[in-house]
Amino acid sequence: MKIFPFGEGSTDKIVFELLMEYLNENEHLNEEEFDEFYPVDGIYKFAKEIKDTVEGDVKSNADDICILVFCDLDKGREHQDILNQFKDIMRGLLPGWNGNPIKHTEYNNIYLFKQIPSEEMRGLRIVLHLANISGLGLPEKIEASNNTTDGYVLALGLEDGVLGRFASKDVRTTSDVLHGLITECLPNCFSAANIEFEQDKDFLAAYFCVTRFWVKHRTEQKRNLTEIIFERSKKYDKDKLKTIFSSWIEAIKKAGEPIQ
Amino acid sequence: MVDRLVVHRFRGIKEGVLEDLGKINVLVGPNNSGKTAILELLYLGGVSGRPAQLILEDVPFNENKIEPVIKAAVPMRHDFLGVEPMPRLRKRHGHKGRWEKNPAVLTPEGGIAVNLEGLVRNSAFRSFKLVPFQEEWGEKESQNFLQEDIVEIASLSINEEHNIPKILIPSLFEKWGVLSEQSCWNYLWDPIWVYRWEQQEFIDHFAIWAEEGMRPDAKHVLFFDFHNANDHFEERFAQWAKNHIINWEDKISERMKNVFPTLEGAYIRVDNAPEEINGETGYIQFPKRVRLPVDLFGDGMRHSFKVLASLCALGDLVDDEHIGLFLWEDPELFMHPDALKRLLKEIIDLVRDKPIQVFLSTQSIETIMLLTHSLMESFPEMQSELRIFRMKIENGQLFAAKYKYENVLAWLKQGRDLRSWKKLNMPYTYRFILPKDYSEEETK
Repeated sequence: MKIFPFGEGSTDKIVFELLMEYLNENEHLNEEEFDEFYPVDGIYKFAKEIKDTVEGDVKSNADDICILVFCDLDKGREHQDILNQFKDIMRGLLPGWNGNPIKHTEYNNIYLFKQIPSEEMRGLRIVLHLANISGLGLPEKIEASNNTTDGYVLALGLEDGVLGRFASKDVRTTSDVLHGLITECLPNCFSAANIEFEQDKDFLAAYFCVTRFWVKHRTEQKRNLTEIIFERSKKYDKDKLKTIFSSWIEAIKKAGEPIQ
Repeated sequence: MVDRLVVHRFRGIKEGVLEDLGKINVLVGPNNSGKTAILELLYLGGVSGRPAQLILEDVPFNENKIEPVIKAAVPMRHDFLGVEPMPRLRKRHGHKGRWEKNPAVLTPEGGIAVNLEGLVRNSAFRSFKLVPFQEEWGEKESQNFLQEDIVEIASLSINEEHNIPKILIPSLFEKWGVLSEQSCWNYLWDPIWVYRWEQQEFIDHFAIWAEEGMRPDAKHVLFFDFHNANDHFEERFAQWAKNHIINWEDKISERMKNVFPTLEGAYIRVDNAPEEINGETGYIQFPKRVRLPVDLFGDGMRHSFKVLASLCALGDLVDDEHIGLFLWEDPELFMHPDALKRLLKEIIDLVRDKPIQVFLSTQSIETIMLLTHSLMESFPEMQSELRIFRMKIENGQLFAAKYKYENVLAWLKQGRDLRSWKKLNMPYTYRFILPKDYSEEETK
């Protein structure tokens, strides 16, 4: 089988690659089947990028094909809107396909679209993961905003094992202090100045600031922050990484399963 | 142009189909994925232009509703570059050029009688004759076969499907369906070309392939490979080109300057190879300096000269009734990327307004990227003509994933490597840079 992973933005790519690394270290995964992850840069570009990329392989009938998609869920956007978009993508690749998305039994933010392989035709499947940051322990106002990959990274970064390390090593304070600065003090300052501060991206920016990341690491690369959060989580609080990214991990594993 | 190709038991390909061929076709894929096989069968089918009558001898005609005489063709004695087609291909695969064990004899009437004893009695092709065509079928006088043809002819083509007896059509062709109009059927009986020849019976003793679409003129088939790049031109080709192609050498000079700007001020002439070696080669002449054979320059310049000179000649020859076929193996051979970029641009420029269909095979991502870049920057009208086929063979089955221009661009932009069916784990990455003003239509 050949698996084509797509996401919306660069953070998705970073997180996917770090999770693949984690899964390779901890679980059996056929990494060779996964092609490069490509961030399409906006939800409306999925259709064209996916079609242009995979249609040659689908029509060649040489291998089963799986398309793994990590998609954000903006505030006010319904699952059904996105599901309809992906139904069209399936139909574009397999004219005449008239199936429906199947919701994952355990994760209500994972959907499968599939064409089971037959004698005449190889299998095709889309595994769609819609970001859902509720239940990750983030402040309510973040949960009420957009659901993006940044929310997952923030949730992992706010865990004691990770934030505590930043606090003691880089800032010389406690994780509680940093947690308060990120989730209360800085947002309140912005709100007091009538500046909108409610998205997970805003809070992740506050995280950069209070962990003195740019000072200590002398880099502005977001990748480094995400990498360090993952590294520290793996080192000091491995279970949390598994818990917070459980739906991501499940989507990746699902993509690697035979189509049936 | 050839639109579709259906293959049955040719070399490592037990069966396979290439659909929706374009004007510019690029074959990629792992080693042993059938790229060269496709070039070779296009070549052999393409040069099959000597008319002959096929007479099947062991078939009860009435019972099988077979015409006693079928209009056919066999390969020309020489291809566009003056090379003998079958010997050339046999040598590429480590065999003697001449097939001395061809079970064929010259008949007193100047025909060839072939007797394939390995086949079961009563099979349609067990024994057949190829007879020079009768005058009423063509304008020229009849051409008898010669003794040398016996060791050089191992294939024939039949141009009209309705003439082909059902028993000569492998079941594969029925499965895939081959259009009856404008299709050409090719049969090859030299065992070294037939997929698992020794295990088969009857019709499977042949490599058979059908081409749909307008075939090239047999005289206008140019197959350019490593050997052409290294060897001198055959004298028969060079002499003919100098005599018939107007300003051939000037055209070569111009094209070469575009690829190698250091040749500015020089002109190129084609003349006898040095030291009385057979054949002709190019000589680069700067004013007031001694002319030097192009072979004394770098290998990339020699390669470029040979391919440009050949294609300049082909380009002048073709027209809508006599289309050309250009088969080019490894365009990147000896080429620095900078020169390869310019060479590919010249090649596209040479074929873009001409009825020439191009098939390239390559292992180089640079070739794919530079070709795509050239179409993006200089020949947008040619973008829709591009097809890249990533091929593989599994248990004899040929698979081909087809990429049009927009697909290729998506792959290159995304940093994916379309040469491989699996993700390549390489210690390097590449990045295809889109122009700043490039915009894609978003699908909303």
